[in-house]
Amino acid sequence: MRLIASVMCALVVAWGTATLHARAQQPPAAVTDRQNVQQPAAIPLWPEGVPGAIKNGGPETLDQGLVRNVHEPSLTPYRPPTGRSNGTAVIVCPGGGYTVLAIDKEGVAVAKWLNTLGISAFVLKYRLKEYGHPAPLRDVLRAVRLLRSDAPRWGIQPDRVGVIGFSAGGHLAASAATMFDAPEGRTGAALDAVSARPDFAILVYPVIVLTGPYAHAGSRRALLGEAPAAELVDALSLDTRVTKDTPPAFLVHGGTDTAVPPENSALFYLALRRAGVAAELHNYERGTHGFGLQPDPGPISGWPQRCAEWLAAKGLAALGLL
Amino acid sequence: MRFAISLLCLVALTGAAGAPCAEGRLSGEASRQDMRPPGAIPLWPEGVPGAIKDGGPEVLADGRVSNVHEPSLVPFAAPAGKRNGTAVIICPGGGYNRLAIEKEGATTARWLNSLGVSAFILKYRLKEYGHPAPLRDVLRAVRLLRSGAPRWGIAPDRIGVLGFSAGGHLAASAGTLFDDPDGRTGADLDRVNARPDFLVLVYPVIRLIGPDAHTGSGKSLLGANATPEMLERYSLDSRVTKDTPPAFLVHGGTDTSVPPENSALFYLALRHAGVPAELHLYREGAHGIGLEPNHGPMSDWPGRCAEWLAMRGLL
Repeated sequence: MRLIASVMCALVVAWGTATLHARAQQPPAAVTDRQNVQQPAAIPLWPEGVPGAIKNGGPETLDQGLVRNVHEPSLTPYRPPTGRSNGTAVIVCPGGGYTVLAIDKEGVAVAKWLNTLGISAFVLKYRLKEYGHPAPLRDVLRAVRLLRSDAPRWGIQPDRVGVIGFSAGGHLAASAATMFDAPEGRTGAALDAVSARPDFAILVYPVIVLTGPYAHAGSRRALLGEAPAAELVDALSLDTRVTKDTPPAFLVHGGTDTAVPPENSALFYLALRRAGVAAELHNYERGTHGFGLQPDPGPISGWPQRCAEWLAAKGLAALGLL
Repeated sequence: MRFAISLLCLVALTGAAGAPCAEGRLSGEASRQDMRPPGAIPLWPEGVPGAIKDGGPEVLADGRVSNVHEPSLVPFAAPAGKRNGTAVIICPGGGYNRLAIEKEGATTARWLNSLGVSAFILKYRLKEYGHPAPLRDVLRAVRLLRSGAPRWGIAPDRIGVLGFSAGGHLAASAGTLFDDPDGRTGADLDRVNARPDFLVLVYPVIRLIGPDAHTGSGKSLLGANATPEMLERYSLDSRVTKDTPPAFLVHGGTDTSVPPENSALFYLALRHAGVPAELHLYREGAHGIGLEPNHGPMSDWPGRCAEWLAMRGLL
């Protein structure tokens, strides 16, 4: 554990510098910023060794808010101010087509917003195209298991662990919601015994289908390679994987998203309904891809508020906390 | 066209009694004596096509109108200083059996007025007639307003239709069947374009057959013995084309009367046809909440709708 911790320290220093730099450019409005000036320590997902690790994979890089070449998947915790935590936890899956991670605008910024709702956020660095399926799935399921098994340590409740994902990160979050019990998500570790089912899922312009007219071909290539078997492509088109055990979900998508068409969200919604799972969807007429928390002007800029209302209605967040 | 205009004058004379822009009254003591609220505009001054003789009186009870034989528009003009030229025809719901004229009519009209939008509550014919009477009524309403736009202080290219439940089916019918031969009656006004410029569909009935259907609406509209082909023909997701106007849809997930799949399927059909659309499907929200508060996040749907109208330059 100590060895891992020192490895993580090196990592943290490496991208912490860049993140601090990015933060310096933001307006110093948020009260929480003062408490988070020190980069929180990342939690390695696989202290026993990353399963299927590639040797000599080269260094992870961070450039202009994009992380590449992840070999040491981790969770970076962002806590609400002391006394403001409501016990809800959310694992944040940034997007980037399973090729990169938009760690700032779809990671850190999202975590800080969740903190304002009293929610503890954990930004997930998951493995990408260097590994492909099932490495990202294993990473996100391990993240749920880690938090749930050690909930008191993080001041969270084990039955209030959700996932939020953007774009390909939405595919990963939806994978967690539908494939939490899939054999390929297990590695033989003792933690496999802990339930990996998220308690809720928030999907923002998510990739859902990997085949057909609404597919995101880039995510399919990065996840499954150039010529995957049709059965595998279908199996990871997640509307086909929804069951009654899929957790409740909140979906948001923009109608002018030409990278990942909003049909992805609508089809997932319909699959949830068919399975009897409670769902909410906001497909705005206008809204392009990748806006994160700073959407295009217009109605879609209200999506974080819609999401906060949904969380509050489920008793998972408090409105008007800060 | 000139004939149409003079027709309009006639309409104004018979129905409007000199104060066409005054807020219509729909309930209370007065309505029991005079079933046509003051200021109501009859849709068919030349005679209601296919009128049933001796159909009995229109009934208003508990904010619901039934047995409509004299379809009309009840105008709620936007305040003069606030008026932005946008007009909305409101189709209250009620399964094509009655009209929830208070909860889904007058309340909606007053909200639209607060946005500067002129509202017109449509009293359309119901199960006593069935198809195509309601369609004819709503299309006639669009034609009337468009042809007489200056008179109402509205822009002829900013006329929308908003409908709840079965009224949403009627609004969606206007959006998809505006050019349908069934909608014409041989009147001069047939030449006026009946295509709404936008649609607002609130927990709308879209499907009349299949697992998501609202069978009650299907029965009232098409009869108990309608063939599957007929029911499919008026399941309106099957009628969307690239000419269908842009639409805003909202539906609640706990609607056990008209499942939200109705809205989702219409949205997908609009997307498929390349028509701009916005869809809000709330986790919670029962059927028929209208504009009532205290139904959780869905109660704020008018806020979402106003944002959408503003984005489209209609406010």
